[in-house]
Amino acid sequence: MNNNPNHPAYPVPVSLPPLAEFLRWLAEMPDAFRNEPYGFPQGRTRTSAVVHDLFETVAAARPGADFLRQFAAAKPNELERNRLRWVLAACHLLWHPALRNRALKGVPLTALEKLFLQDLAMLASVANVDGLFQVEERREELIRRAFETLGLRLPGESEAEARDRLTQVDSVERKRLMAEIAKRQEKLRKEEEVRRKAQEEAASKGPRE
Amino acid sequence: MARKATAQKTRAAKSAGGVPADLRARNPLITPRAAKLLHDMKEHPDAPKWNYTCGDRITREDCEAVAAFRAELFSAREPRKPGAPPLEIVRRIAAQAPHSEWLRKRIGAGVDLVRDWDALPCMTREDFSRDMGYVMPDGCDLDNMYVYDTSGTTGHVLFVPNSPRAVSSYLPLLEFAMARHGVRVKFSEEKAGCILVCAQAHTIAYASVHAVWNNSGYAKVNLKPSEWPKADSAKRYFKDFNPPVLCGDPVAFVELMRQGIPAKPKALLSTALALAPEVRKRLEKHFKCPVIDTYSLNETGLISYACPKGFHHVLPHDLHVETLGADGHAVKPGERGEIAVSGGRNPFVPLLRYRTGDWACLEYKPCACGDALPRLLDLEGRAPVLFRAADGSAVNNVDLSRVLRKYPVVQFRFEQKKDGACALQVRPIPDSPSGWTERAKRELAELFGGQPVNVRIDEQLGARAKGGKVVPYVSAYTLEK
Repeated sequence: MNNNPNHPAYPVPVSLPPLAEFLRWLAEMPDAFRNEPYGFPQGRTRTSAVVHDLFETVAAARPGADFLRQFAAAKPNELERNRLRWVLAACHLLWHPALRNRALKGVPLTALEKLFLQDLAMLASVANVDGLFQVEERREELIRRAFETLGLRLPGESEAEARDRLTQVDSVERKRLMAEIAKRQEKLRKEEEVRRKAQEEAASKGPRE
Repeated sequence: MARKATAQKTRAAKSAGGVPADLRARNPLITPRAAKLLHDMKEHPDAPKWNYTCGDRITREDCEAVAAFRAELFSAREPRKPGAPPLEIVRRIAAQAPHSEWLRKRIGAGVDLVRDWDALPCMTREDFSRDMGYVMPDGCDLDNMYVYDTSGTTGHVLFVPNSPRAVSSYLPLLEFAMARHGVRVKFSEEKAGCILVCAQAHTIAYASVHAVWNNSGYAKVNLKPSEWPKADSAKRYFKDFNPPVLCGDPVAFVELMRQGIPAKPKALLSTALALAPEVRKRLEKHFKCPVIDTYSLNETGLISYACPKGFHHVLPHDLHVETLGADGHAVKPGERGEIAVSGGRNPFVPLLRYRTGDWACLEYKPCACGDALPRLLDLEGRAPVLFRAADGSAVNNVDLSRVLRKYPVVQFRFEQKKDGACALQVRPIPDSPSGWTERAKRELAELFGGQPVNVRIDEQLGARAKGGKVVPYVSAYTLEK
């Protein structure tokens, strides 16, 4: 049973393969999921179509057009490219037979949407997806981040153990910790710069002085 | 030898196309033709007294980004519903969250931005004044930051960082508002595109060009007669440059009309202060063009524009607007609440439910004008208050805010009677050093062209008023007359 008040309150009784199996599955990700997302040079994989197929297979309801639009390249920049590549990797993870055929069947659509819309946007803003292909820890992070949001648990782990392990591999958490160490100095530096620049010539605001 | 060195220096000071290097630094995309236009606007025999220099700082990449923003703005006009923002905005806030201490503290992994939206804490003006360093993202590009100050109606200065790209995105927003009124302007690098008119005792005045508006000329001018070389200079300047777009607040537009300046704009865009319907009608009749009201804050940029049916619609597609009760929860549709905004495009200020201090009812039902974005009904922003100096020239309440923010004032009420007499009641910060009231008195009298101002300390000011609020500006003069 899930006791975390922030966590979606639904039990997921299905037993899953061990972490090693999901790590292997991600390490052997086919080219279709590693390819450049459509909307970028040489981009071939239409991310929104992949998300659509996944949701159609595992979720009780079809994803809305509004939701799917979030997986077409919004801006041709590196951040967006990175985000869509994380999305493709997450689609591949959830395509694992143990998840696709069983475990995900009981997961609410809202939890899946949060993972794809919010958690992956956060993760992509702090971690390069290439790490996924080079470092096992990034693969573990994706697995644990997804499982946390979807309310899934790896075999033999308590909720506290799962959370503890996620904290250890969590890039967002690492970013937070690093920022925490420097935060006071960083705050003062930024505010000093704001005060200094307030005395300087500004850029023309045009008709909004 | 000396002549040769000077020539070399001059050559070095000019970059490609004969545009001086300092001008190119301020306006990276300026063309020789636009530089000539700018020179003509600055050196015109009737030009106002310029007291500031700045440019748009826009690069080619910025220009492309603003063009993409324009394309999205004109196409993304889908209806909204109460509750969480559109998913595009949720996704952007999620991506910003790990990078801003202010957001990090409020958006943890357990928070579902869609599900928990209404429970999220609100950003306030105090967060900006006290913790701007926590609001700003870690590692943001401070070299590309420009800082603007704003005092709003409170008189307390607030520094708001912004980027040239985000600032220039304001222009497509104005284009959109004009297009809704059937006005489409073709901007040219050989003509003035826009003049921002002010009627204040003191303000900055400068001329520039805007790359986003095809390097057309732009000027900010103060209509105060003493800011122009001769009595009829403003008339001749406007006649010669005749910009298709005029921006300003209602006080300035009324002053433009009062001085009989022969402007023939295609649109007047009113900002900063509330535009009363009577004033709008008078201005439309006089200038024979639409007068479009807009609602904007320095902290947030443009929030809404008035459609041809007179309703204020949310303008930027990337901004989420809601109305909140005192408890920070959204009020029901149709109920009045404080306007709060999230999203936007200022890279230095990721807005999350920023409480603006202004009030309205949000209406999601379709509007007869055809714009599907929600409307702010009964928008209660900053009402314009017109004061007059001894010589009859306009004094804006912004001028007064600028003077008063220098002093230890908690609350104040400034009133001008029909005979011109001025009185200021102030509630000072407790235990503040004495002696400042005399200085304030002198400064205010100077602002009003020698008109004495009576200053009275009232430690209880506001304490007797309902909700502790005091109407800060009261004048016997009205814009309608």
